[in-house]
Amino acid sequence: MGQFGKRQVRAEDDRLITGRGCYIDDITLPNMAHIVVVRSQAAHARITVDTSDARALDGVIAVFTAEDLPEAARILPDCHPNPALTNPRGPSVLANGLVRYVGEPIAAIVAENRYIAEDAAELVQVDYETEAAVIDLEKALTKQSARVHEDLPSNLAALINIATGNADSAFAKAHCVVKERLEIQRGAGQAMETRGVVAHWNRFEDRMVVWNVSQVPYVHRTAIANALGLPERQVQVQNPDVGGGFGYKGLTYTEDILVPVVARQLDRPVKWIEDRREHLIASYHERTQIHELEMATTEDGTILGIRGRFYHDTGAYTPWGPVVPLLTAVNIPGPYRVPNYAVQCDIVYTNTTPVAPVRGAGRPQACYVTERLLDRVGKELGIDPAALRKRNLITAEEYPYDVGFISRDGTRRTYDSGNVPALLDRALEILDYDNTLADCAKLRTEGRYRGIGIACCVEDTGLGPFEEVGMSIEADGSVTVRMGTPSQGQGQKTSFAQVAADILGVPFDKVKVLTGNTDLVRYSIGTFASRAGVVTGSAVSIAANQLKERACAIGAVLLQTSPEELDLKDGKVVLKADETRSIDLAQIVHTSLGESGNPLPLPDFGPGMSTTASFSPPTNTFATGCHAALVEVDPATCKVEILRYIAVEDFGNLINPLIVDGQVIGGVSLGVGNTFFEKAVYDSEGQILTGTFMDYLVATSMDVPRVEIDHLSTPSPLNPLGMKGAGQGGTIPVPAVISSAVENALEPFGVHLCAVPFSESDLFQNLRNDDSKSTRKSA
Amino acid sequence: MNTPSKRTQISITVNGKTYSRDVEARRTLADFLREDLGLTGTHIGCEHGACGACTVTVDGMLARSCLTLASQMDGCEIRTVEGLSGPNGLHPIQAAFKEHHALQCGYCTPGFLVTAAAMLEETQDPTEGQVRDWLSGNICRCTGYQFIVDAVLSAAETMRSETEERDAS
Ligand code: FES
Ligand code: FES
Repeated sequence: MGQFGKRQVRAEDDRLITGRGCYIDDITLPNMAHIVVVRSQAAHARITVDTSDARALDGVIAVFTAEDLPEAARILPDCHPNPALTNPRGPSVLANGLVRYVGEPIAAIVAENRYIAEDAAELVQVDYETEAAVIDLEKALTKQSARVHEDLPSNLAALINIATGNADSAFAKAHCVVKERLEIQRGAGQAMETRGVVAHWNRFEDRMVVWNVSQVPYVHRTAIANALGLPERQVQVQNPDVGGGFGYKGLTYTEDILVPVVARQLDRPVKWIEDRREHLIASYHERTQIHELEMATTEDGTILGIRGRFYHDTGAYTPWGPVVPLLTAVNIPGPYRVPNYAVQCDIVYTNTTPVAPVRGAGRPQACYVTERLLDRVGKELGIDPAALRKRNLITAEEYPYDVGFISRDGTRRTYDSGNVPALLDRALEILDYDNTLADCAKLRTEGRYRGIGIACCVEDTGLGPFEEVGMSIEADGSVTVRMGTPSQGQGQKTSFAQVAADILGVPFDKVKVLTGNTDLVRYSIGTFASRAGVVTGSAVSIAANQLKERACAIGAVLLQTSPEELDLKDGKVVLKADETRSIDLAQIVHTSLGESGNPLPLPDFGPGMSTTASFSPPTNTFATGCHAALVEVDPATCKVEILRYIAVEDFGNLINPLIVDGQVIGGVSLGVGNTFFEKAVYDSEGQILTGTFMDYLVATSMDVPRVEIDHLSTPSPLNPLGMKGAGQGGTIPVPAVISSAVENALEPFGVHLCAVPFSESDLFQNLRNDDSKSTRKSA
Repeated sequence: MNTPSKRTQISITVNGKTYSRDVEARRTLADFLREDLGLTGTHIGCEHGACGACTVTVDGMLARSCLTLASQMDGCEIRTVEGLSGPNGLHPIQAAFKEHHALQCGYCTPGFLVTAAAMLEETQDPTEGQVRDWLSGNICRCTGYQFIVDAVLSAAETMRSETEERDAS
């Protein structure tokens, strides 16, 4: 043993630090043509498109509009159909007569190079007969509002109700009721690598070969096969190195279908690379919600119930079903005991970029609203925020904990394991809570404003239905792992090699993990929802154990002993009692394969040392966390300095704490952006004003604090390695924690924060507003 | 239509090797490096000068290759990420990036490496604040910067002790 749990440096890095990675735009094929997509400049309009000038330009090979596409390639498939979404509307591959958001694809130019394609794109004439645009989330539901989809009676995509207990009677009995209107604004994932697709028809294998940057290559394989009218075996989808995913690369976009269709029709290799402006306006967004919620408690702050309603902006279409708002609705109770709960969610269409999960996926909103309500209760009742949370946290003894309603995956929402009070205690210990509180009080008398924020969260991770893994011991005794969940930077090639190395008793660098190619295993779901580590990792352990068993069985024949007497160590099968008696794994492989022309020497074991295994988790496993921050705010400038940021996480057992810490810090960095900067802004006509990195701001090295991390582990009982997903825990509580800390720092001024992100100038206005004690928007 | 076909002849040294090429006047240095020379280590993150992924040095100065035209580079010396490691293996900043897990997806990494290497040539003993300041023009969406900062500080230390050893011998 020794690899599992080790801070192993990554197998991926050597190529990437020397400039020898291979990302989508690094792929060049002979005779390759280039695509540029012409996008809508209007938020809502009837369009007529004239492409004749573009077609006439030298170097232009073809121009595609909706009618040039085969029937089966005109509508994007719904990646996540869900009956809760009563009025789903999917985007067209290319807009057919009507556009519903700025950035919607209208036409595709195919040219000899990108420069010519861009020139031609400017020659496409689109006549826009504009219609009223629906931009404001709340006004969208009024009777007078224009409609995003004329065939629907209103802009309501669906209503979701999640409830347990009896909220109204709990509220009737409550000692304290607080009410808030809370706003979370639109942000985006904005990976450093934009999207891109390369496709060509492989004449030898007679099939379509596609490279893209997807988190779900198998979903794309199906979608492309359907669009081209091919069986799935005639489509291969591959991922090269991918520059970040963050959720919104987990679904099928126009170009994922368009580029293979063009490659097939023109019988030429074709490449499309999105630019940053396109990525900002047309790769899907997330986060916009408005909550009107109430929390009821007893006199000592014990939560009796939460009730209310929130509005979720899904943009112009519902490409990922109702997943994001559903996740918000089920995550609001968080790690707290909420016996009575009744929340309604209105999923609303607007003429804006469609919404899909972005790292955190509905949960940062849930955590934010619950923690804001708890802060109100604390103030109302004069209870210390840490004590208030402690009083309401589900205790270790209460797990598994039945939350009382059905979860996102259709099962009864049950927290499998956890101990959040211990996480809170640890965070307070690291923060040196009592002394820090005293310091803050003392500094305040000197005119310096420091504050503390605390928030706790849960995250449903590791969801099903399955992942499949193939594994072989090669002729030289090294190990190959094949899997379907692709990497966008999470280090799977390292973590899963660690899992296999331990079980098979081989050094870490003897295990090679292959992914990013739909030929490697037959089926897969994909990398999203913090699931690859848990589900694929478990499948890796199962496959490795199968090979171990077979190696020991063959070893037992060769060493004339029983398999139970044997173990795998240093690349050998060894006799536990006398390790000098051993056989190399290479020899085992050799024996299992036999000699050419002869019968197998050990026919009972079949030929070779190769296996496949899959893992299907019964339901989600729940990761938990507690974050705390100490901030100082200068009331003159409203500059916020994060002096300390503490993240105590429970991700169950960790394969590689170095990689997990990287996930946490990276997650916090997105959360900092969500708190202060990241905001996709539309004007009232639906023009997006944040089309560059000068307008859409993300956290830089000057903004992200050093994160102090600790891990406490309650292993999950739901998978063989006791793991929980770690991809989003860093992000979820950050807006809640920092809002709380800033509000706490500015308590003497009565600042009341009800919206994220908030900039320094938002804070400045909030601070200077006379009736600042009332509930109102800060942003 | 405009006249995209206007071309110029340039002679340019990249990572110590000199190339003579005929380039379209509007061709960016980033496209030239990536497509004409096959040096795909330089990445394009925004094409508007805001992310730093495309950072290279031109005559020792940091430059954004997405906003620089190849045709302006006649006679210039360029260093890209591919030119960081030498015959003795990795540049200390590269080794430190690996050691400190300063990259996840690796897409921003070449820009950070080139920037950090340039910084370490100018400042041998930087503070954390200086490192953060130098790196503030490069965006990373994966790492949250902390391990990048650690890597740069550690590479600075390695380089200082290497210099001391050299001076002592
Ligand atoms: S690609 Fe040049 S700065 Fe972003
Ligand atoms: S490592 Fe992915 S953007 Fe920096």
